[in-house]
Amino acid sequence: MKIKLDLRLWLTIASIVVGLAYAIIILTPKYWLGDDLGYGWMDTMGRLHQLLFPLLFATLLSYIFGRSNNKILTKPHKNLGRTLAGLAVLTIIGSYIITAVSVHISVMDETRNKFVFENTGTALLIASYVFVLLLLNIQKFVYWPLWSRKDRSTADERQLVVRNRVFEKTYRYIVAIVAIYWVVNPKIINTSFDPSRLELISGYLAVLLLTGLSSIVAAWQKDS
Amino acid sequence: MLCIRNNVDMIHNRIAVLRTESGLSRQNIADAVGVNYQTIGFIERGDYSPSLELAFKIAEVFKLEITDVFNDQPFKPLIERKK
Repeated sequence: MKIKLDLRLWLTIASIVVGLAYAIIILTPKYWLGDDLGYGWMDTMGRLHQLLFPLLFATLLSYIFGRSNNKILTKPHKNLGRTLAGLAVLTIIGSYIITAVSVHISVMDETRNKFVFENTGTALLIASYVFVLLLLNIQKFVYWPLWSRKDRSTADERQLVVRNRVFEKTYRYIVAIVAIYWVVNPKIINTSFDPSRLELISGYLAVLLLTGLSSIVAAWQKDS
Repeated sequence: MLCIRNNVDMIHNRIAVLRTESGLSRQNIADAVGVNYQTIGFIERGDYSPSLELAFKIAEVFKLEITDVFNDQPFKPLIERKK
């Protein structure tokens, strides 16, 4: 497997390394590191925190504005890709659920440690970033939705058929996820049914837009 | 096996046989017609049906008629034809 080292790949590797280090440190109980290292632990975590999120942002920008290599997932990588995809979904869902649970844990709760839940949720979030970045690179982000038009023109007809089918499915999943999110969103459930609240309006508008956007776009197509 | 039917019935082809006879690799054909070499593989296995334009281009590579390379029915072995 030939690997071309470019800026985007270096940023991805750096994000993964720093992210994993950060996740490991926030999950490590302070007392394991010894009382003497307590301050050092906090300092290291703080520095990694300052480094990690700008690094993730820079990596994301390199994906948004960089060119793709236009290679469909090859057979040897298919199982790895499926594993990464499964792990990404699990860690995204896990991160959300655990963080949501931590919101309802009081700092005074003696049976459950609020910060353990929060840190675990953050660690899972970083892990999901790692899995998605790895998956994008294995697939040479052929399915990255922000391809430039120039890159799209280099795909052959079979690749375009695959891409179109992938985006069709992805769009359906996005609509379903947004709809479910806004239906089960605790803020919506716990507040009174007041249509003037921005959260309520935003949620309904998002679902409406996603449901109807394809028809809006189709209405302007010459051959629809 | 990845299957990427583009909503048409399967189109049969003799690309593998013709490739062997002419000594061309999938990459050679892919370069000649302007597609990814994996696409040639998918076409050979019947996992993807090419567009008319691509089918004409592939037939042109072998200097044959399109019906000599592609068919909507399975190609009969030459031995059976002589019988």
